[in-house]
Amino acid sequence: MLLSWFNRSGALPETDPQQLMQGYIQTDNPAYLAQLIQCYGDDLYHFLLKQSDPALAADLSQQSWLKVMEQKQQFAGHSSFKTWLFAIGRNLLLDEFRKQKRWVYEISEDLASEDNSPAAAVEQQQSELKLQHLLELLPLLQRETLLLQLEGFSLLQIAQITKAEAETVKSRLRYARQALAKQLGEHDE
Amino acid sequence: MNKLDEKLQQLYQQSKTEQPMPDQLRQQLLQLKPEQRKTNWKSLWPAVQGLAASVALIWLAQQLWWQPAYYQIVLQSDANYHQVQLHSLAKNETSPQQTAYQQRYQQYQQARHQLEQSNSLVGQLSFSGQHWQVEVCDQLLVKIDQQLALELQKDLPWHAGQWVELKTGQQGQILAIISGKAALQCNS
Repeated sequence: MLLSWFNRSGALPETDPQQLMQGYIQTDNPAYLAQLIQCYGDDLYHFLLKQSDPALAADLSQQSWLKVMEQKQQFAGHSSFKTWLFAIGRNLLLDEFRKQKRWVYEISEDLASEDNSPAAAVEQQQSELKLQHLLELLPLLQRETLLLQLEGFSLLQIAQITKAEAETVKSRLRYARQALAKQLGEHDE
Repeated sequence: MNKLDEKLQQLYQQSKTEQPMPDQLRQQLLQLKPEQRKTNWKSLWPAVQGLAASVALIWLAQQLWWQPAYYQIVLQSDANYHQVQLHSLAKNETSPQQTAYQQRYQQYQQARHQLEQSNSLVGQLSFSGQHWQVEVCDQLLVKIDQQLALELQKDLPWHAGQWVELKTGQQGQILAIISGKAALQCNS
């Protein structure tokens, strides 16, 4: 009985991410963090990968989780852990884009990088239709908004992550869907 | 959910399945430890600025409130002498004592007038028990406070009964007291 009590005290009964994070904040036990990495590591990596390349996505993933460790006290619990984590990852990605001057924030909003040349159209028809191809048609802000929606975030959560108004998020999604519907030959209803 | 959403969601899930986090990265993440915080000089900059401002303020305050000792000549009355002067090094008085200051300034002007007549006075040194003094017949008694006496004795110690010559500046202040060559002949 005593043994079972000891076993129980070493285990991590929490499965709710908020509770896991609270446990990590209070105890600094790396097991809580490991569980959070198992839960959201893939999601964050994929989100970063779809907007960069494997090396940068891996580097930014590491930086994001390091920030979670270092800034854990700043997690107030007002948003979900996943929202907080993605906001960290997204900020790091923006910093990297700014360093590389890949992104001019103001002008990227309305510029679609759509290549309507016949060669591109043929190439696209020939290639297997992949998400990456579709995403590359979108400006960065629309792309990240769409990715966040596909990841399961609500409009409000996307607004929190991207620090944008909910209406702005809505319009970015609308433009993104219109562009993709055109490419996929679907009707966006 | 319309067809577009279905298609996008399907592509998204397919992409996630095809491109999971590499195992190597997963292992690295699980072994992550917060880095030792390096000294970030940028973050210390506000503290440095604060310290510099404090030092500057303290220096400024010191300049404003620090008062150097200034030479003071106070006239005193004594039945035996025509005039008694007390020469001292004193801290400057603050403004609330303006009246006392004005009074002393007048006394200083009188002493100055007296001493300006002669830049050199011969007298006899004595020690009153409290301070040194130079007696110029019964015309003048110059009392010298301890601090000034110490300043003036740096080169040559005094002894009571010694005839000395007072060298005074344009404003009546004692510049030096040197051994007098001859005793003063007083006219009674």
